[in-house]
Order: sequence, then structure tokens, then C-alpha cells
Amino acid sequence: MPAKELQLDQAACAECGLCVAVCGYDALVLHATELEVIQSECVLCDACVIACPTEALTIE
Amino acid sequence: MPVSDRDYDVVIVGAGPAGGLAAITTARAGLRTLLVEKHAVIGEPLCCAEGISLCGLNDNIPVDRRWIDADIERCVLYSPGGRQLRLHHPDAGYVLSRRRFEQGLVDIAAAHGCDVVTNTEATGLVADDGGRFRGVRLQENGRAYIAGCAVIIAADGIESMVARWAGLDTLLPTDRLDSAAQFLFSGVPDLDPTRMEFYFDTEIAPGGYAWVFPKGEDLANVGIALAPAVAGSRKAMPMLREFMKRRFGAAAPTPLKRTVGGIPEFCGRKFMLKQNVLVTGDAARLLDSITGAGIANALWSGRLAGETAVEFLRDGRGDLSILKRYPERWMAARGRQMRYFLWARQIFLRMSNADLDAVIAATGALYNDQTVTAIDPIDVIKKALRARPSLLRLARHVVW
Repeated sequence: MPAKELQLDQAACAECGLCVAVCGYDALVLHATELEVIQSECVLCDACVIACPTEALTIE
Repeated sequence: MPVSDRDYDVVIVGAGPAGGLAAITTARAGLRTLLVEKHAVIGEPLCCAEGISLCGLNDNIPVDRRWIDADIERCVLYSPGGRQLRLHHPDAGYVLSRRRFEQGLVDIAAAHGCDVVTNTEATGLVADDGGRFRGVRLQENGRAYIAGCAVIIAADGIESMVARWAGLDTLLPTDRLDSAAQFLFSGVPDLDPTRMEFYFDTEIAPGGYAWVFPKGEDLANVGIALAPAVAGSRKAMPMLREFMKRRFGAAAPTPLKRTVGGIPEFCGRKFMLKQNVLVTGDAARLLDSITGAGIANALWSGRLAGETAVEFLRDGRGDLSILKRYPERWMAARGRQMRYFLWARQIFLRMSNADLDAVIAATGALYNDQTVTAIDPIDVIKKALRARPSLLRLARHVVW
């Protein structure tokens, strides 16, 4: 079974930056028009998934 | 050796209300000021319900009527059991057009000589050996450069990276924030353009509330904020759709725009200053912890940060201790009320629907259908607690 990863649904993401504010590992970077997930930094802590208002982030 | 293409006295990152008013303050005092906005358009994307009290705006900047979408005179609070608390406050406040408002602030700053760059992302800070920050790394359409400066004002919102680069631990625990979603609607039925609606119900908005804020005759911001720590796996956007069905039924209006974002709890002064970086507005978590209101606090902190930067550069000869006046003045002006709201939030998060009914009934006995010109939120909280003392038990686990 492949390892779990933080998945981003770009269509659902509103680039609000809430996930960046709760990420303690600098695994999310918000650019002017898009969110970038840096998988190498993500520890799958779930904080961004809990905070995201639009269900754009999941761990699968 | 110059560190940049051009040196400034002050570089402000983020052209929202805090950054805009900071820029006006420093540019008007004659400081060479650069205001940096990462988005292409000032005021976009919106992350706000756009409501502000009359004094929150008027005390900070002369009001330009073009910024106002609606003058608010009435508020109605709905309790889970169907009780209503109706407030008539002739000068309650405004619903702004944040886009016109923020562009207006930037225009004023530019008229005072502030340089404004949009579509430009801050990517880091430059520090000297002593730990003082000497510039901001910027990237504009692939061109990277450094804007040198003596003071940096971080006004880059809830996800502030400038504060983080300055060395502040800005990580937001998920039990200390609200997660919010909002639609801008046209064709809203039964809309009074002078009336705000607030809905309190743990089923509608666990740990938060839902709102309908008019923006003129036909438009309204309809939104919901919830506390993830109370809501569990329930999310703001699906819960907003549920609220829409309850409020409007089959006559659902047409959504024009979607907005989501976070509302952090107030955290005291600890995120307001690091070396010569002054942190303002949402970036410093300067929000009312009960209402989530942040525009007035952003304006106030932006202005104080700007005034302190002027003193630091003009009168203080760069003495870092001058900058400590910024958080001190902010806390002296707003600290008591902000701390009280934070304490009340700890109780609010634990309230049941029966508690909400009791509080709205008790407050209704004070204000219902009366014309009021001033409401002291601290007095309201005290009276609500007196009406239902069991609420105090909910505060037992408050962590300071």
C-alpha cells in the first residue's frame, strides 16, 4: 500500500491561507494565486485538514 | 554597500487596512515608504464579512462615502429556541466595500508619496550580524530584488510569513481559531439594507455564529464561522450551505462570490514586535475573540505602528527601545476589552443551545426594541453571566 500523503484539491482551494497559518512545519506555501504543498516537509499532523473550511485538503 | 535597488525608511508588506493606514501614517510624516502587495488587485481576494463599527472607522480615518455599501442601524440576534434580540442603534456602523476601501487607503498613501507595488511577493528578510533587519526580499514577475529599510511593518494577514521570518512562532493551534466561509449573494429576499442578522445555534455554527450583512438594496454577505475544536469533522463551507437552506428555503439567492478564511483568537502582545519588525492587524492576531471583528483593530494597529516608526526614525535615532511603545500603546488602548472578549470566548465555546437561549433572553430584557446609542460589550457580558451564573462554571477550564 502506498504511503499516505497530503492531497490538495486545487478546484476546492480558495487560497485563504488558513492551512499555512496552522502548519507548524512550513509544508504549505501560499503564492499569489495558488497553494503549494511541500510533501517533503509534511508530517501528516492533520492540522491543516481540520482548519480548511472547504474540504480542499485530505490525507489519503 | 547598498542592499537594494532602492532604500526606504519603511517597507510595509500587505496592502489591507493595517498596511494601508500604516503607509498613510509614515508617508504623510515624510518617511520614504514602500507598500508591497502580492496580489495583482488591491482588496482581492476578500477574506472578510466587511462589517465595522462607526467609531472603529471614524476614529482612525476620515470616512469617504464611496467606501460604504450600507449604513447599519439595526441588529437582530436569533437564538436556537427562536428568540430574537432586536437592537436599534442609529449609528451602529457600516458594511464596507473592502475593495474600494483598501484601494482608497492605498490612493491616499500614494498621494503622500508612498511607493506601491502590486503582484510582488515578499520571499524573505535580510538581517545584519546584530539581528536587526535591513531589508525585505521581493519577487516581481520573476525579478528578485531587495528593498532595504530601517523598519518593516508586517501587515500580511493571518498567514503572515514576515512575522515568521522575523523569528516569531506564529503557528496557530487549531483550538485557537475559527474557520469561516461566506457567499456574496444578489437577490436576497427580505433584506433590510440597514439591518444585520446574527444566528447563534450549536447546530448551525458550532462554536461560532452565522451572519447576514446587507451590502445595499439587493446584495448581502451571508457567512458562517465555526470553531474546529467544537465542530469536529464538520466544515464551514458545507455548513454554510445548510444554513442557506434554513434561512432562505427554496428562495435561495444567486451566489456571486465565495470567500473563506480563518479568524484567530487574540493572543495578547506577543506577536506584535520582533526587533525592528512591527506586526499589525490579523498578522498579530488583533481580533475581537467573540465577534471575530478585525478591521478596526487592523486600522488602529497600523496607525500606531506607523506613528511609532516615525518616532523611531525621526526622534529616536534608531533606538530599538522606542519601538516597544507600539505594543504598549495598543494594549493600553484596547488590551482590556480584547482580554475580556478572549475570556468570554472560552465560555462561549462551551455554551449549549439552552445557555444561548438564556443569554439572548437576558440581553433582550436590557435592550429589546429600545433605541440605544452605545453598547458596552463588557457590561453585556457581565449581565448575561448574572442572568445565568452557571455559565461561569464553563470557565473553569479556561487556560490563560
